[in-house]
Amino acid sequence: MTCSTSSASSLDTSAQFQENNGQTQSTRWDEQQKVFALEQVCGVFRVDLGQMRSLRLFFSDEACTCGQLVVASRESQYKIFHFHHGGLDKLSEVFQQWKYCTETHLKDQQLTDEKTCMQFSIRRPKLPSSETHPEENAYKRLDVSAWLHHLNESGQVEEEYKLQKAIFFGGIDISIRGEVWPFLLHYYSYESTSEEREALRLQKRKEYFEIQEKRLSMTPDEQKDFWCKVQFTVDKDVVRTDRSNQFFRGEDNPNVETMRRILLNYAVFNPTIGYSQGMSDLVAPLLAEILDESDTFWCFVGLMQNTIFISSPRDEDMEKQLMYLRELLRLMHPRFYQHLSSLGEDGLQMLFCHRWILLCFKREFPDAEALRMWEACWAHYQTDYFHLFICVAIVVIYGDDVIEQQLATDQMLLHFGNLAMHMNGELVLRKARSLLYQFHLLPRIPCSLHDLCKLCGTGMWDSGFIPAVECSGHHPASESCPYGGLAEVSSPKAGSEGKKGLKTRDVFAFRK
Amino acid sequence: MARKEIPGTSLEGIRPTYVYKVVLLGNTSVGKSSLAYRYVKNDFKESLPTVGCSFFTQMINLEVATVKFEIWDTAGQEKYRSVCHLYYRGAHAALLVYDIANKETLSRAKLWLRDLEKEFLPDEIVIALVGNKTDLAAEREVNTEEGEEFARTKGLLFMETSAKTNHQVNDIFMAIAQELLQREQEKASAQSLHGRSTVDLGESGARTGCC
Repeated sequence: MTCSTSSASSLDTSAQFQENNGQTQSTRWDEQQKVFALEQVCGVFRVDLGQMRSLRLFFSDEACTCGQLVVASRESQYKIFHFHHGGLDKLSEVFQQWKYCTETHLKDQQLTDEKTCMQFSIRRPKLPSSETHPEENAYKRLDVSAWLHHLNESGQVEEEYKLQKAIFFGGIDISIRGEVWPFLLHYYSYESTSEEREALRLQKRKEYFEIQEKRLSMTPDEQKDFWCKVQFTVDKDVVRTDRSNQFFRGEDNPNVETMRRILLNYAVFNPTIGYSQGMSDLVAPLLAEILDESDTFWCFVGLMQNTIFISSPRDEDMEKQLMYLRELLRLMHPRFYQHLSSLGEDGLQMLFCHRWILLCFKREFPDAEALRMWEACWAHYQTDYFHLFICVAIVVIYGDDVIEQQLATDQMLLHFGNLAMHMNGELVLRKARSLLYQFHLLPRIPCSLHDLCKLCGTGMWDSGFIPAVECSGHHPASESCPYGGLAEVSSPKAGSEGKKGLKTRDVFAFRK
Repeated sequence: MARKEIPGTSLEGIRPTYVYKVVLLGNTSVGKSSLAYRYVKNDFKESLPTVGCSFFTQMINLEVATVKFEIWDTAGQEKYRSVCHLYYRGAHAALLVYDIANKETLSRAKLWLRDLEKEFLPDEIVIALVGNKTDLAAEREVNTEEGEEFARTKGLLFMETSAKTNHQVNDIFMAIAQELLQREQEKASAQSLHGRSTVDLGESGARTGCC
């Protein structure tokens, strides 16, 4: 068994320690202090299995030999063991034979003594076939030859929908991200020819440098104001963004300066948004893939139209996102929704997922996986809100503890915070696609989620099947809701007509 | 004070455990996350700008009690100020952090104090003013006396720290723990003066569910 931490063997000793759990409690504190000291000295630690809140195994490979063992203490401190080279299956067998683990399969009511209520679960990398999107695995990563296949001789994307679908399922090969992202980010239109794109790039480059010129020719007063509102924070942030990425690594890296200029120029280009912390997280991967400063800038402009940095994080856009997410949870994961409701307004604020939405999972998954999620969201396949399905997927896969242990608001934040960078992104994405599919099949959708489908026109209901919309009664003025009782959406056309009436401010409504 | 307590789990049975929510507030890049990271992990690393908020826990084992700190680390940018009350709601202590090498950040800490004063009564929250980055002594813009004086007039705890060199980081959290415990004691004796001979530590505000 190869394990990336040195502590696997110490699990055995802790397991024995647990057997006489009751007697050892008085010394536990001293023990723990020693353990902490030891941990800091040589990275070794022990886990008192008797004090665990949960023990979960997440397999990451098809053969179910590699993955992670996640141990959560009652204080929501997490120890995560990575098994990169197999062996987790053997450990899994041992755990499954262990009475202490298997007993947790008993019904909750039988476990009245909270101390014996340890949660144990095993999560396979594959979702049961009933839970996967039927078109899963039908698409491989979009590589150069597949990409060229989507273009006609003048360089236009032949069938935008097919391309979006391919990207949604398979992602884009790293080698052509810089070429394809500008389409997804609405810098290039799908109908444009190669020639037109070259002309556009030249024109946009000129515009970009005009913006920069404007920034550099501010009056001293304007300069001072700009420094306080924008530059001070940008300067502090760019030097601490993605510095472990090869592209930004090292002292005096010119790419960091390029990122800085892009952000400053953006604040001049769009002074109402200016600079919000987190933007550097979003622009850094764009620059690292697209490379050209002006192109990156314009792609970033497209990206910003598609994110909720539009104004402050507390504004109506964030509220709208959270409202949709709450409704999706109510529909697709009622047990979790119930738990949130039981916590009242604080719980329903869902502080734990604000960063997921603001940074589109950038801090929750390693770059490779996060960028796959970005692409899947940018593909706008069947929905403009795929990121919310990803949120639900995370909660479905990693939220068991929250419900079973009835975690309070702050504990939830700690729970999900600790899982950042330790979740299986591929599994989450597959689950999210399957959730979208299930949503798609619903015979009825609540009126609160009606806009979730309306925004992407008839995209979601392309099979010709249209669900009924009914009032959930969960919103203000529900007595006058147009969907009070049961209202049929008469035809796919009704959806696209409705679209015209939308405010242009609708963040995700920039398609056509 | 809306304290949370749970009966001690040790066999001695007499040492209570107090759970306190502590929030870190202050301008962007004054070192809030770094202070939390130093205190909880005893390490220093360049941290990304905080978006939303992150959360740490730390236990302190004291003679009279066990203290569990729930440390809420918030985003420093002005734009996030409107959501901040979500984070500091129910806090028992706040660290107002400024950067000794940036005078502006002290003024901002004063604004945070005003926000807190709107939300809390003076005896509801322990507030500490923290001048961070003493390692940047050469670039100092705020002298120690200035911070000290302001803290004194406002009745705040005060310390200068460096998350980078681990200067007084433990000390400031320890001072907060002591202050909180002292307030518990004062409150307990005030209660017993009002006719209650014993204080049932398990009674008030015990946290439900898992600790």
